[in-house]
Amino acid sequence: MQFPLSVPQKSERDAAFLSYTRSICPTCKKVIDAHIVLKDGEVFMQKKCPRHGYFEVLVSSDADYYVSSLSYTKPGTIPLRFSTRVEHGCPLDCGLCEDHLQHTCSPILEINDKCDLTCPVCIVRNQQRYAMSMEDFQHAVDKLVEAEGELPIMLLSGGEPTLHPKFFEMCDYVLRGPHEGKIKRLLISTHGRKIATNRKFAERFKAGGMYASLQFDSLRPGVYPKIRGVELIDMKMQCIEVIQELDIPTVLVPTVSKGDNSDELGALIDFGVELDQVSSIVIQPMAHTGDGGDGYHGNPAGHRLTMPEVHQLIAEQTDWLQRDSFHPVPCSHASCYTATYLFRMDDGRHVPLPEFVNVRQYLDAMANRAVIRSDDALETMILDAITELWSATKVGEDSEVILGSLKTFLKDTFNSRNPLSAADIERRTEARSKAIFIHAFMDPWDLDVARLKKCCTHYVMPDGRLMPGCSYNNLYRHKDRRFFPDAEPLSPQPVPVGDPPPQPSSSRLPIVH
Amino acid sequence: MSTGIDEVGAGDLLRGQRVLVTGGSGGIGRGICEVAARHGARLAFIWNRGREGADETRSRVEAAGAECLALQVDLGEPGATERAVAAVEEAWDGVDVLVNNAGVSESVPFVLLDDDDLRQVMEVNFFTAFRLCRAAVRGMIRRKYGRIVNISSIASSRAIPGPVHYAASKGALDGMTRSLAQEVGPYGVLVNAIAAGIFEAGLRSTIPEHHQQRYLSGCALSRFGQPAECGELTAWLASPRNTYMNGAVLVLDGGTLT
Repeated sequence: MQFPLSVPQKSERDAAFLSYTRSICPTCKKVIDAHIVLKDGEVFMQKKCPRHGYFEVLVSSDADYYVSSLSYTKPGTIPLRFSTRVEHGCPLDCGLCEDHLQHTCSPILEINDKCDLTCPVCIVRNQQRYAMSMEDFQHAVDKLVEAEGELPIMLLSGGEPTLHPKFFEMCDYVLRGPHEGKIKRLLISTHGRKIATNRKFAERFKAGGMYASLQFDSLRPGVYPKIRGVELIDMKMQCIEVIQELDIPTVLVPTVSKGDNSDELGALIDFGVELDQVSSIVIQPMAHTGDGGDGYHGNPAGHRLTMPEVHQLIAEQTDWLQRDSFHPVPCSHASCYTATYLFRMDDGRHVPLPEFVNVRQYLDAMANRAVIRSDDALETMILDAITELWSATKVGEDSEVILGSLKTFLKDTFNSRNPLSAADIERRTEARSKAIFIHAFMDPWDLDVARLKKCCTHYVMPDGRLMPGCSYNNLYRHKDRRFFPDAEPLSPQPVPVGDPPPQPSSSRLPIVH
Repeated sequence: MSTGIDEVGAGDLLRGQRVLVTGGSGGIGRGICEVAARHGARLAFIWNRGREGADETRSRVEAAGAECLALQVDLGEPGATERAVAAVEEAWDGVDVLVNNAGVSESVPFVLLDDDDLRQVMEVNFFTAFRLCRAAVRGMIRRKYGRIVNISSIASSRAIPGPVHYAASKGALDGMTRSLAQEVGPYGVLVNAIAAGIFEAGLRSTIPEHHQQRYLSGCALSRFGQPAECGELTAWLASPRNTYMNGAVLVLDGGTLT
């Protein structure tokens, strides 16, 4: 008998397993298993498609942050209505399915797929053919209100929604129709061209009471051609001028691409917080999905900005925001949204609330809010912060300024000697306090079913179904007959709630008792 | 939702009565003035800021067919309360009814309040009312007739979220109402207060939106009060028809749970 000269040695994997999830193959979109692993202080998703092989993508540049962020969670809210049954497993039952863990905080209704830009970073697939009928729109809104009751915000998107011939009628239906008061704010996701160049449109926009959710990626020439396909800096600044002149409430939405405008995060924030009309800034690291995003970069797995990287860049590029100014928003997955709230002091400086509020104690107040709203959660958080600051053993100079500024704001805003309307109070509050959100969409590279399950940003379908945003963008959009009339039907199809269960096929194995 | 107020129309509760109302340029004060005028009163009201509001109140009072005196007075100035009462007594030979309605509020947490904040609110909401009562009661006792109605707030007697100094000032007003009623009641002067809930206009703007919504959700009538509704209750309390209600603090809030 011959023996081997050496004993085979086992080797260690190069990464520590953290958790299991499901994802999709970036090539064929097949649903496949995935591991979340820790490696060299970072977090990766590793997955293998039986046909297309092995994929690895960075999920977080900071493993410690990623792990601790997962504790920022709270129970989801049950929607009033589910549309689909659990049949095939996530993400193949979308509609929302009965297993979805969160209601709709931020509904998005795409009213067209026509746009007069062709953005290289676009995450949708505009075919330039679809304009939602008024009937479908009303039905979708009716169903949304039926599912949710009341909503703090709703977004109209597209394409470019301001190009829809019934744009203002649709806005009126939401804000002044049969559900008046149920949807508190209507945001319009727009590149801003019509506001910038069409005075009558801008005035009518203002009169309609909508918020502009304005794509705003850069403050310098040379970036927009890369990200948006054409130089837009003049148009964007003109739009800002009109917004200021007409006092149009606005959310600034920069899409950030690593190496293209990732060095402008600080400048964009500094710019946005000085504008009274801007209630929040929503930073969106670009996602490699959609007609633009699909082919934007030769190495989509490597070309990405994870949440802690964005925090780090902001901390480096401002002298008043730190990494820990930002906290995960607990109503969705910790990797989807982080936020900070700012308060402008009497001396003009902005202070992030986490500097004087124990944010972890007030997760209820950290909801997905593109706009600040007055409610018990926020009030309790602020009052506690005031009381803690005031009663501290040593009240420092900064604390005095913060307390004095809060008092000035409250006296000016809630004072019978100068009574303000509810709308004026809201606007004054928005001018004085702002939010910075970082909203990370997923693409076929980093799609994580665990994040989908608690998604609260949902696309509203004409038939009233609600689709988690990243699920729709990556798995359902290309089958949407509104945009792709010749698309093959989905397979498998989500099963509506109430439909009888499918009959077992003869090819299935019998159940053995 | 209709309150039914407009259908009530003119009444006779205050026919010929000489009524002085503070804070008449808007809010509940205007409602009190307008209803009093419709009930036949001769109506004097005090205002300080807000000429436009004062003009509006005057035109409504006169449209109701009532004689109207609009007095611009800063009641915080020394001697102003005495001068205001004296002006009405000189014009009409007396004051039969005093309605202490003027009030201010600001939504500031207790820990941020300083002495100035406290003083300002107490000055308008309580000290002024105290001084006006002192000035008006002299003539009322002499004539053996008078009615005083103090507009207070549910904040004075319930533990509801709201500015502490405001609640304290209204609590002082309630205490004064009861005690003064005891002291001057034997002379035919009846003193009562209305603890008002949240009304349209007036101090409602100082109340954060979510507090207003909580109030509405606990209100049996699911709405805020209308100034004229406070006016109607004031008119009865102020009228010769009220012969036995004295020292009462009446809650006017649509039936609201705390």
